[in-house]
Amino acid sequence: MRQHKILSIVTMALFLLVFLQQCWHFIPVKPLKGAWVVDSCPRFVFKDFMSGEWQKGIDRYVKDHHGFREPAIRLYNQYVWGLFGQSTNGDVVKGREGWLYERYFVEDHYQSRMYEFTDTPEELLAGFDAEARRLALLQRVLDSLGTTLFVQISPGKDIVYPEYLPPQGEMNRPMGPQAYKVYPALFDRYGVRYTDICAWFLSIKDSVPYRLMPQTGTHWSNIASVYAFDSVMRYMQHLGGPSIPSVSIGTPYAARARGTDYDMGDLLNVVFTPRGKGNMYVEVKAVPSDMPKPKLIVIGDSFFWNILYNFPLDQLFAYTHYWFYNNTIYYDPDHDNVSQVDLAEALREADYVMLSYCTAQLYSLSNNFSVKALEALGIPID
Amino acid sequence: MVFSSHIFLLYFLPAFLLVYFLVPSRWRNLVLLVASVLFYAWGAPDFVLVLLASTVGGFYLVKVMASARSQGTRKLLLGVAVALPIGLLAWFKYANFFVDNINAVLASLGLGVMTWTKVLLPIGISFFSFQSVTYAVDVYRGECTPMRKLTDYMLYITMFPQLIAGPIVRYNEIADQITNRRRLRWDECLQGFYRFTVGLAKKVLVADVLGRTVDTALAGDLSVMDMPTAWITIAAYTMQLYFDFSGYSDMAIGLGRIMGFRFPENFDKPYNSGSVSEFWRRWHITLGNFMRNYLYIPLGGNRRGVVRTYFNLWIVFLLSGLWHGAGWNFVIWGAWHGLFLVLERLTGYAQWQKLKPFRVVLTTIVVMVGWSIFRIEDMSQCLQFVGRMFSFRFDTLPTWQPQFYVTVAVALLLAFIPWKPRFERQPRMWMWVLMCLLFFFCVGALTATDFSPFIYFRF
Repeated sequence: MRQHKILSIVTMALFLLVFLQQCWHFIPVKPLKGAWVVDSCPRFVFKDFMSGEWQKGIDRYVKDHHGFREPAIRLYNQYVWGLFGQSTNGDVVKGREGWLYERYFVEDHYQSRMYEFTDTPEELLAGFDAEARRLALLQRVLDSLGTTLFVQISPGKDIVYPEYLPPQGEMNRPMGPQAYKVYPALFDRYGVRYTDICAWFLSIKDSVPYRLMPQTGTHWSNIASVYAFDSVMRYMQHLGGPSIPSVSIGTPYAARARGTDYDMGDLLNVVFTPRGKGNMYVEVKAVPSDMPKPKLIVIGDSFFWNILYNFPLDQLFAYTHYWFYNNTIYYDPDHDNVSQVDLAEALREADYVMLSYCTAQLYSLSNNFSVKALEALGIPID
Repeated sequence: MVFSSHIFLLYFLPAFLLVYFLVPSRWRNLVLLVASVLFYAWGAPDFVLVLLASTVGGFYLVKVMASARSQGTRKLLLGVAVALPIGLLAWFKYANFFVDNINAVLASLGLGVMTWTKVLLPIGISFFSFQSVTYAVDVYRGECTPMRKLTDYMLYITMFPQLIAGPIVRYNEIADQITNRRRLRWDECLQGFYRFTVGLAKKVLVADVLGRTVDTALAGDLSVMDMPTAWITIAAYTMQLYFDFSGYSDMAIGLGRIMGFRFPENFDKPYNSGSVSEFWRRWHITLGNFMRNYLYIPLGGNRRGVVRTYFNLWIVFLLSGLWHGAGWNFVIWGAWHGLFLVLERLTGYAQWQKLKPFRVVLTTIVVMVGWSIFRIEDMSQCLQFVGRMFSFRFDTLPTWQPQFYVTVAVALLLAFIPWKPRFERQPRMWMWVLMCLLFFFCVGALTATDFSPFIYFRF
């Protein structure tokens, strides 16, 4: 009976522990990975209480903040992942042989991204066409100002490694055109400068001794991103803009997965994160140079993070301002957001403007940058 | 508030139990009553006054009835005491259904329809109305005396473990437990915690997993469904219902046990039944008992000849169906079960002892077809689905998640094997550890199911 009393009291104490953990986080736990919206604790309003909205808000808040939430989620996710090979995260799709894909890429591969953007395939194609024409116009205007604009198409994992994709299944969504299959032809037609790293990766994937895309990541592998950006820098110089200091790339070596090489594995939020196999790395160093360094603005998606991490950009460029989805700005000491920037001034000052989009993000190419830039430069858009 | 919500599991329940155990035993009923009103107000603040007013009204009506000398007055007051909760139930649950049907008839005759503001359904009204009826009738029959304290009666009606989804506790089963509170026993507290956790796991790890896929399957085009898919879907729904409802009953019984109450059992391996009548002795037992004691027997039961017995059975099952929901599909579902009960009596089917495995399979098929009617409200769609169940068309199996298939298989196994967990045995240390982990795991499942972070924010 005494043991029963102790166990009952300990059970109550455990409940109390959960509450204390929520308040003070006194036991360190491994944080969850990914980005999500956290609701704030709703203020009590009698009307909301009577309608039940306040109660729903409180329940959401408790769900997002309760003590030991992180290990509880990881434990359940591990059960689902380990036993059934399933992800509770809809953005992570399990492919063949332990490969993980981001949902956008799988949907893009099976031509079902359209539902996110517009109602009809015709409207979508018209939008691509308009964007390409705007970029061609903007490119000509910037050329006259001494600024080189170009598009860099980062590789989609579904295109480089389609052999590990899961079967199509029943997506039950309208099919539509794939942006990656449309844009290169439009760029050629309107004369937009671009470099297609995706096509290059596809052509070399069987001849390189490392993986161009990591098994459990969604971005290009660290090592592949290094060779890719080295090529992009050569392409930039080929376009006739200011020279960029050289880099030396070290010898590849195998190592445990780092950074974005297992970002999909991270997103599973399981106890034992799958990191994939065969990850290789290289070190990049800038060759010292006294020549003036060019100024670079990058507008694009998350693929450029790997470049920021792997390259000594501060030794290669006078500045590299990364306009993430043409919204938040990284590493510009004066501005946090594109809305704060004098666009015309910034474009006149830069030497290179690179639109860096992967195949699955080409649907929203430039994120309205072309429109805003032309407006800022006083160029009418027909 | 539902038991499988974070606010209940991580705040309400621990806070309530802390206060409940710390106060002197004479205050425990009051603490439980206040907590029960708060519990109800959280989910249905609009209706808490309806609940309290009908409870107070019922208490005083029965009190007057019990002290009335003339039989006629007693009968009249009984009628009022029964009509009050049943009237409330009829109004809140069936008024919309009634008006919709009247309007459908008016529209078909080319007449103007009635304008009507939809009545919202107070949560748990089906259960607390029936408990009010049992109180009035049990006192009228002299099976027990009326409660002396209003708060005790309010506690009987509103006690939160069984307020929302039962079990339907007859007044004479619990009256003594409320008025003569015995000392709490720690072993019973642990047994209750185990039972609650097992119920939570049934709900969260089985029923909810099955429910997600069943909803997807039945939302699709039923006309193209092949036979195996239809059977897997309805088998999954059959298990979902059982694990959801019996899980909720386990949680209620477990909570009652923690607080020192013994609620009646509500399920007894129903899918092991060899006949529909046996199924109803094992499925939602407290509803079956209620219907037998407060409807079937007052109607005359089987004492008034064969035809009247069948008529009574049909009435009971039609009303049982209607009690489950205000829709024609529920009425038909009740009639479906009533039909098989009558057929079983006509054929003496239940007496075929040697054919038990065959009878279990046949009963399960009847019950599963019944669940199709129960689940698919649109009758044309329902007929289409039942048609697919017997279409003999075989395509490839749907690409549902492995977790779903495994959970269906485990659920079927657990539902059909004759083994039952013994919650009454002395709690053991290893069991406690297991249950704590299971509880934590269920909380993880509840939290993780909707947690689907992006790799980063896209603008």
